[in-house]
Amino acid sequence: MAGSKKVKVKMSQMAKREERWAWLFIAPPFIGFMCFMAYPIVFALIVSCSRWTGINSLWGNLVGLRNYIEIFQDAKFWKAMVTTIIYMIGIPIGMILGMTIAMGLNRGIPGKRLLTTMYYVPVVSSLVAVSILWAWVFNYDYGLLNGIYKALTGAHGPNWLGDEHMIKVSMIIFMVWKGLGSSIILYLAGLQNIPRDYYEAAEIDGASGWQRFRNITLPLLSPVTFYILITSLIGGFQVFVEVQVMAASGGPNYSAATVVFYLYEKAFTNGQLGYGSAIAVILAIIIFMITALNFWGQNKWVNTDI
Amino acid sequence: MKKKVLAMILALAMGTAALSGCQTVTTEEAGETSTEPAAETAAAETGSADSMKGNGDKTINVFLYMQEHEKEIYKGLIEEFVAEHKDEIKEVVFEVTTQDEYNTKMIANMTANDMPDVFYVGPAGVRSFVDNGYILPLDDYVDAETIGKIWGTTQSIYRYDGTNVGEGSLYALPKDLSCFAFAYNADLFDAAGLEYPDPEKPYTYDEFIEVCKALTIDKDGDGEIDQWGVANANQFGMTPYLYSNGVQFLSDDMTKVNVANNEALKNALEFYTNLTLDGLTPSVDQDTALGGYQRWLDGQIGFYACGTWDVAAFMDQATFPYKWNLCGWPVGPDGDGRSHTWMGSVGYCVSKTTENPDLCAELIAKLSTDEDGQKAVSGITTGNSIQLPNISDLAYGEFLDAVNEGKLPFPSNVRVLFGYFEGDEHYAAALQETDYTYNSEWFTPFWSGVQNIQRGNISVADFLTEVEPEMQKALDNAIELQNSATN
Amino acid sequence: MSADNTKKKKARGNAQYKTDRVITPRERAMNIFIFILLFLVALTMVFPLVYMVLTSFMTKNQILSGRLTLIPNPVLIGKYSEVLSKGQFISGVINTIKVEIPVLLIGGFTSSLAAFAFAKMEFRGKDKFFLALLATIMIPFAVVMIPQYVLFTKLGWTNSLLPLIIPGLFGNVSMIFFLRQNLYSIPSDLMDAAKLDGCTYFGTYWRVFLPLMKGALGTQLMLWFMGIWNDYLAPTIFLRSEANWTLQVVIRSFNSYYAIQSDYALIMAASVIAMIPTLLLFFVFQRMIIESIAISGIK
Repeated sequence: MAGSKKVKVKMSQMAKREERWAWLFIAPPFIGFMCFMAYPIVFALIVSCSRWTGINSLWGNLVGLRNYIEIFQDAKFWKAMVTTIIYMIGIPIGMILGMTIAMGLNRGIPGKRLLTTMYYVPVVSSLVAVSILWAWVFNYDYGLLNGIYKALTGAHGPNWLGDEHMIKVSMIIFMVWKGLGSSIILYLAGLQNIPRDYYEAAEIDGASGWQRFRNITLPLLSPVTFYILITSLIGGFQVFVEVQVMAASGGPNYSAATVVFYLYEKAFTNGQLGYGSAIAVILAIIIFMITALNFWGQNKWVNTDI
Repeated sequence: MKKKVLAMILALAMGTAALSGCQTVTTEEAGETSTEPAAETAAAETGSADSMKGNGDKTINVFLYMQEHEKEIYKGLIEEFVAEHKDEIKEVVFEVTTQDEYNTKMIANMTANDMPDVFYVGPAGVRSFVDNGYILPLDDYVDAETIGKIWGTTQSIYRYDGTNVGEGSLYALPKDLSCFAFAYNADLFDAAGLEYPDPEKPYTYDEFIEVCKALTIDKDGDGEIDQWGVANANQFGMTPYLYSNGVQFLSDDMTKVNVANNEALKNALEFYTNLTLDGLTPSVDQDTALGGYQRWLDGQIGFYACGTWDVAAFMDQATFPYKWNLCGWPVGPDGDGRSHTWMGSVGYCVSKTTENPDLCAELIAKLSTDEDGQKAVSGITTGNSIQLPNISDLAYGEFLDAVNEGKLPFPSNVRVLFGYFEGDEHYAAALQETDYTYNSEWFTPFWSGVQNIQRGNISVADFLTEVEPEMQKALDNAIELQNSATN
Repeated sequence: MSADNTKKKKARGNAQYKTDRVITPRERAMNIFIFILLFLVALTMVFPLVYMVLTSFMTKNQILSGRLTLIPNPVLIGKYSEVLSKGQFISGVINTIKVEIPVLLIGGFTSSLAAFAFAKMEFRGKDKFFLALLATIMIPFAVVMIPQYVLFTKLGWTNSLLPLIIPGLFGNVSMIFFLRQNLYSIPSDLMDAAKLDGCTYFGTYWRVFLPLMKGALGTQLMLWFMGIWNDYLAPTIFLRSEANWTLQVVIRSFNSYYAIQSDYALIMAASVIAMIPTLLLFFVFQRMIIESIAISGIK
């Protein structure tokens, strides 16, 4: 970028023209944002500074930053935040599994279409069915996992859903399983863009499988990996439905609840929309900072041009 | 290849079904068609089944939640209403949503200033709704006679005079009144050679323990207990025991949480948690594996909670194939000697901004107290009971008759429910304390923490001391919200 | 040729592309081994579908018995026809499709155009604009839905499907993001070449890059389709009349508040039926997703 000193660089006619067209092309999402998100965001900010319950008066109950201060002292909030972050262990697991399976599928093996569809089934399945099923898999007495555990070790398996610590493990397993299909097809799409010639050239040069992976596949998949990382982070901070479905009251001693789960409970079960909005604002700020950080760091490892 | 695989899988599935000698049943045989198909198609044919039209010029928006089978009956009532007022009404728009989302949608409507004309209010919400000017007092619109027909309790829980709930103007008419009663599996009693609990004499705590001990056995002789005297659910099925010991969580003015120095609570909670610690109920881990409700349905449990809404399900032989009946929750020594439990209700109210208050009030009176409607929902005419009738005369009269004559499947000890509803020498019931505070957040740390006692991780006394500050903080919050600036 | 036994084989590019490379028996064996492995793992993925189908043939008693049994006994017939005979179900499907089509077509167009601009065109503040767009998905929907409802009420849209359609027409941030990333893998020389040829910016997008984005576009459209198909919260809050209910809302309405009264077999049958079109669509769409685009020979 120009302009490190006071030298002004005039943009060429061509560049200005390109810029204007570019702005036109990106206009729709921004217009959409202005129409449908701007007011809600401002509204949320105002509500977050109030003790609004949805029923009482919003303007009569403005309290400044009180909600925010309370949140920082709220043990339950921090507990949920820690749980949310722990759940993110599933992100790298999902990425590695997804990439591996996508590469396997992409080899040109028979039944690729069938397999890919099978992997996608959890994504399209009804959450009701999925949760009932997994509740059984994780069942302490009759579940599939403990059945296998008993067969292998002869001892009673852990209490997947009833133990404060195990439930986090169970939730991670559940979430990785559920999201795998999506990351597989995303990686498949990314793998398509890698020209075959690169591999052939590398093979001719005598590169080993691992070297081909590390020097061709991985870097060329890095844009997709970056996408999955960012969207998983943003999504990971907002995990809610999975908890609602597998641990309806937040788990034993609230050990499975996430921040958004807590938000819901505060805002809609306990009628504290002001507090809930403040949680949302804090969450959004955290997500934004982490995302921005990642964007800033992407230059180090993401390939953005061939 | 895919086609072959699919075909193989299907063939396999069919084959297995055939080979395993399974019988097949149709939905009709199994009694599992949810609604009569005829009614359904008829409704669909009359156009949009959820708006009823007339020739007048007034529109009424009704916004409720209800189960599928209730919807049919209430739709019928609304259609009758439209027919009766054909010249005034242009349309009644009947909007229904699920119970989970109802509150959120109501708030959305309030925020958008787009209130329906008729909607629900729970006893806990009356104060807020009235203070913030959302609902109409019904005194000028509904006559005393109609009001006098409903259960006494429902007449008072929807009254509010600006300071206290229970007195003042009437703001809602009940959709239903329900309570959380107790039930026992008669077959298990027979097998153990025990006498049935006497509906006129609920057990004391000690008697209850003795009976449970006799019912907690190892049925199949494998060394592990597989039948328990009772199964409890901490969230809703714990308070009846406590209330029956005269426990009050809050001070009389509902501002102070009183658990740490509450002798009655300590005794009651010890009794309650000892049931688990002594093995008379499934352990906490066993409960997570298979809930008490499932175990009860499976015939593993002697006593279990039975809300008025559970009765229909328990009467259904396919769901619960055992002889059973109602009884009272056990009574502790520190109370007034009566068996207590909690009640619930939801009521119809009229929006303050409605343009047609007379019509709306008449509509809710009809939904709440129309004789034929009540006969239908209580099962007198349909043979299938959804709720108890709101009209007390009907309950003691035709309803009781139908039960005693066997025309209406219902446990014979139905008087236990009446006792709870109106209070008599053995029974009493009231709304939960959480219905009098702005929200139930203060109670959550309590019930969700009891499992720690049941696991043996903490003593009752320590728990009560530990949990009180958290409860108090939440209560203070709720009080502040209750008293917050109104519209 | 390299003889590696590592499980992580590199992508061989696209299966359709003819190659004069011979697949050695060793590699064929490896392929089969991988297939078996992937198939076993895939079985765990398919489990819910199998279970859903089986449950839709079970009597209520068996479902609620607590113990999970897999073979329906007795087998309950008639739930599928019951689902389809409920007028609501069909109307739920139709309503969902009424939302899907305009949103995917127009939203897909606006998103891909925006992604093209972000990835291949130069303009000031590009990254900052993008980050700002991304920020819009960082706010939990719960907090945004009530003011949005207020907005829709003021616009008078709550009596129709518009609250679900109109916002989507303006694009989908995730989609823009992914397409942008994908476009990075496509050499920019194509852009320069097009410019030299005198192509307009829109023309370059339409005739050069859009076809190249097909795979990624297909993937994202599929995900967006699924998102709308499975969405429950937004339709529940924004739609007022039953006539406008989308599929998931209809299925949820089959659920009773008290578990004991829920007709699980019906809900499962409905869910299975709801899954079939999406799986079929996916199976068909795969051609677009997995088929490769040859990106060689630019020079």
